Amino acid sequence: MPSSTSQIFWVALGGATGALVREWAILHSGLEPGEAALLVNVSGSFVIGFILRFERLLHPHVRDFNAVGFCGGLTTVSSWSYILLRLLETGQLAAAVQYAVVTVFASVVAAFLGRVTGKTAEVMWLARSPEEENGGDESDCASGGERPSRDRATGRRGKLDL
Amino acid sequence: MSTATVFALALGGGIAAMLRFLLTRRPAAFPWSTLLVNMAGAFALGFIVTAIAPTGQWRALLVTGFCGTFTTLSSFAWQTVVLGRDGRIGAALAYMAMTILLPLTAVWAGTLLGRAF
Repeated sequence: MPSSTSQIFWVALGGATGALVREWAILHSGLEPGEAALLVNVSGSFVIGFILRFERLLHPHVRDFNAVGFCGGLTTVSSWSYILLRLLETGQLAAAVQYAVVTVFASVVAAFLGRVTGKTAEVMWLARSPEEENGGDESDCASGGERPSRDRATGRRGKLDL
Repeated sequence: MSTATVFALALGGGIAAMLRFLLTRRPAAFPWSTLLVNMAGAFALGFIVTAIAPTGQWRALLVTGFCGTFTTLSSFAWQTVVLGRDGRIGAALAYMAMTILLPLTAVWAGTLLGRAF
């Protein structure tokens, strides 16, 4: 599956932005690093659920920037694992288990809620301008020749799109 | 944040997101590539913070920028929702358990190697 230069550019820009927002949240939100990491992980999961459900109405670059770049950059597994390791190394087993389970469940629930919100937004958007449905699909096909993954009419369900 | 830190974060984050995109874009029945990326990033973070112990903009570039952005919890969350939607509850639960345990093991191995360095 070839990827265009512009796709990679938007992914990189999104990743850079996500990293900056994450570091800002950890340094300046007034929360403990663990709490700030939970906050960025849960909010990034919500946004990715929204974007990937709503994506058929978005320009592909918006998806690349937001889902792969920004949400991927905002959320982090490596810092989270390191916080877990530090808790275990200092003997705080219960806190480590709690932090691990809360992060995983909260982020999955957030992605699900984001998806529900995206679906609602899509329904509202299509109800507002019914002509968008056909027009939008046509322009996607014309501009998205290099993106087989956007052949969502048949290929979207049943495969993990990231 | 200083200008150098902002630049280092953006550079590390930009390169990491690009690499992750290239490594995980192939659709698959089970998101092994995301799991491997998360393990690799956690291992790298553990190694870097113990072997190099960077500070200032070097920490921003390598640890928070690169390792932080290379790994992702949002893709994991989305993929788990998709697995659940497709009725693959066992796979979703296994993916959740592996995402807790495997990157944790990887970051631990990274710190062990870094301390031995």
